[in-house]
Amino acid sequence: MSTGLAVRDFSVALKTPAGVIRPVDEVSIEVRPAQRVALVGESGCGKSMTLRGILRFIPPSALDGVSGEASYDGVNLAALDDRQLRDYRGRRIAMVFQDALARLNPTMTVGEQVEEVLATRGRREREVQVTALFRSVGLDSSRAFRRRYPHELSGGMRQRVLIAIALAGDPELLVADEPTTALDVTVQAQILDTITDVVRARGMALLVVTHDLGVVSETCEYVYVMYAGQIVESGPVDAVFDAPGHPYTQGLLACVLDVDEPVEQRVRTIPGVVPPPGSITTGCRFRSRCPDAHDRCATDPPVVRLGGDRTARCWLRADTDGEAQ
Amino acid sequence: MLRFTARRLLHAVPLLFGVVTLMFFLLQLAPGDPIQALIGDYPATPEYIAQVTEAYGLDQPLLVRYWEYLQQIFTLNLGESLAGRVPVADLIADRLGNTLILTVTAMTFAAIVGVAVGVWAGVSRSRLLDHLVTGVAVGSLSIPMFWLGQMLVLVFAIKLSVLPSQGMYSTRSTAEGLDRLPDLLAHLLLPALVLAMREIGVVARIVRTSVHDVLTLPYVETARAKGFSRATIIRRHVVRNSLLPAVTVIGYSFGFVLAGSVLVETVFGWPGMGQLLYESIRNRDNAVTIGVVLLIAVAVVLVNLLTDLVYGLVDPRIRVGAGAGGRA
Repeated sequence: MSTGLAVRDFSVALKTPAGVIRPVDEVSIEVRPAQRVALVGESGCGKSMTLRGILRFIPPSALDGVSGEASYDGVNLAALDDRQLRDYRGRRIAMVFQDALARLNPTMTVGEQVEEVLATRGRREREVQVTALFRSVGLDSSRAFRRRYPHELSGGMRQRVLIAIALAGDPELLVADEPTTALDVTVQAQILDTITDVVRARGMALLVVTHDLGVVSETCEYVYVMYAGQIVESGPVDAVFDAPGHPYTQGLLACVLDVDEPVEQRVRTIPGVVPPPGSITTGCRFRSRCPDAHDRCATDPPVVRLGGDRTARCWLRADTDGEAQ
Repeated sequence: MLRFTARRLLHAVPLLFGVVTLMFFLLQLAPGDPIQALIGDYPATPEYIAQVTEAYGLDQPLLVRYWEYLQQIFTLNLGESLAGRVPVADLIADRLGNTLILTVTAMTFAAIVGVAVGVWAGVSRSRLLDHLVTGVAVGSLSIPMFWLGQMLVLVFAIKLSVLPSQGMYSTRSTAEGLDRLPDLLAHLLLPALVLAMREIGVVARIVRTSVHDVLTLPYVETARAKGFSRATIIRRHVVRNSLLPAVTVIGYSFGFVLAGSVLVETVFGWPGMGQLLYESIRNRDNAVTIGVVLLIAVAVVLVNLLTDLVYGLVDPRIRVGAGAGGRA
């Protein structure tokens, strides 16, 4: 019985010219089989680095080290050698990236790039599988189309090819890093539908990393909100969006455009930017931008259990709602 | 594709015209006198010199001779050699094949070895090996060809006596047809190696840098996410994409190799166009000199055209004549 992805107190330390930084700081995430989970936050909050750290896509030259645990089905991914790790990549955990043009080999046809992932040997059988994969992600499955090169396709088609590549290894968990960021709004919605459809149809688990709350609400059941390298809130998507427990989540949700509001009030922002890793060492990392900040925020806030499988890392919740960990 | 080729060839016409003009006037400026070179160091009467000068049309004003030469070239007639009055085209035809054997062998060897060494250094995670290969590559393109050629002759032909140093075939050989191949290869080895040396360095350096760059590209990470081994990733996704800059360099190298063949053919007594060019310059045989240079210019133009066509084969994004493709 698969138990899925379990990440506990996971930190990533990187070597930079300015010294060692920790863009990912004791992050805990869980993705159970067939569960659809989002990791959301602003640019620079460490969400992509969390993914890259878990799946070991950080170049050794840049990596100072990881700590904590990132395991899949109880196997610690960090402890695997290269050969063992390859058995997980593609076959059990597959990835969909943003910027599909750069993510595809420019000198190989899209058909070949999907086909090379297949484990099947026979030529005919491979062709049948590739055709089925192209169809399942909403692409033209004709031979002529499969013989095209990435530059001959639109951005949306390329993203679909990336999804087909990810599906070709028949994985249990699909990890998507900003899968719709570079696309037109209308295409974004179609791609999200495709991802949700294939994930549901195949009973796969999904971990989406995004800055877009729309993506979260359309695709996922559970959400982790990340800020400055830490998880600041987690919970079922509906519950979190209805009543966000952390001021940062409240801010993010307030930034979502609401077409029912008068035009001048539609666009809201959280003042300031995410502090760079290492610039805040103690206290709540959001306090400089938080409308509700007070004296206590200078000391580390507790992770408060709010009930209903929810947590928030905030002093405000420690007083009113739950029990601190 | 056809239109592209035709346009490129048309563009070459003014270039070739320029080459002819430049060569014609430069050779007039060169010191020495063709008639004196033809007659040799014998004392000759002024009447005899005037007679020979007139016979070759060299008494005409320069511009008249230029005009006549142009008309002649335009009908694809390269004129006659001063010495022996042999058509230049025949002289070149005799030598062209030999030069092609030498230069094509050298380029093929340089391309294969250069790419192999470049990929090896590029994917190597050992810094020492990387630096070593780069160092040797820089060294190989810094060594003068005539020096390297003479050193190799000294070592392999004179000291060790394992390889011939002169010509294409042994004079005492009685073999015919294909049986002459081993003899030819033995003669080919040293001059081709000397010619290839510089290009191996050039190609290896470019490929190494290119491999380094490609390894950091996002699609290589996609291949890693597919669960492929490093060897598979390099073979399927890195090598071909790293070859793009090498194709350009190899194409443009051909001009250098042709130029280098002048030196190498002279050092190794290889009966090719380079040797012909060298001799014609020494003998002030201007028609031959211009003819050979013109042919080299044509060859470079053709190879550059071929380079662009090959580039399209390797990289579908710049495939000549291909439309922008379906955007929907």
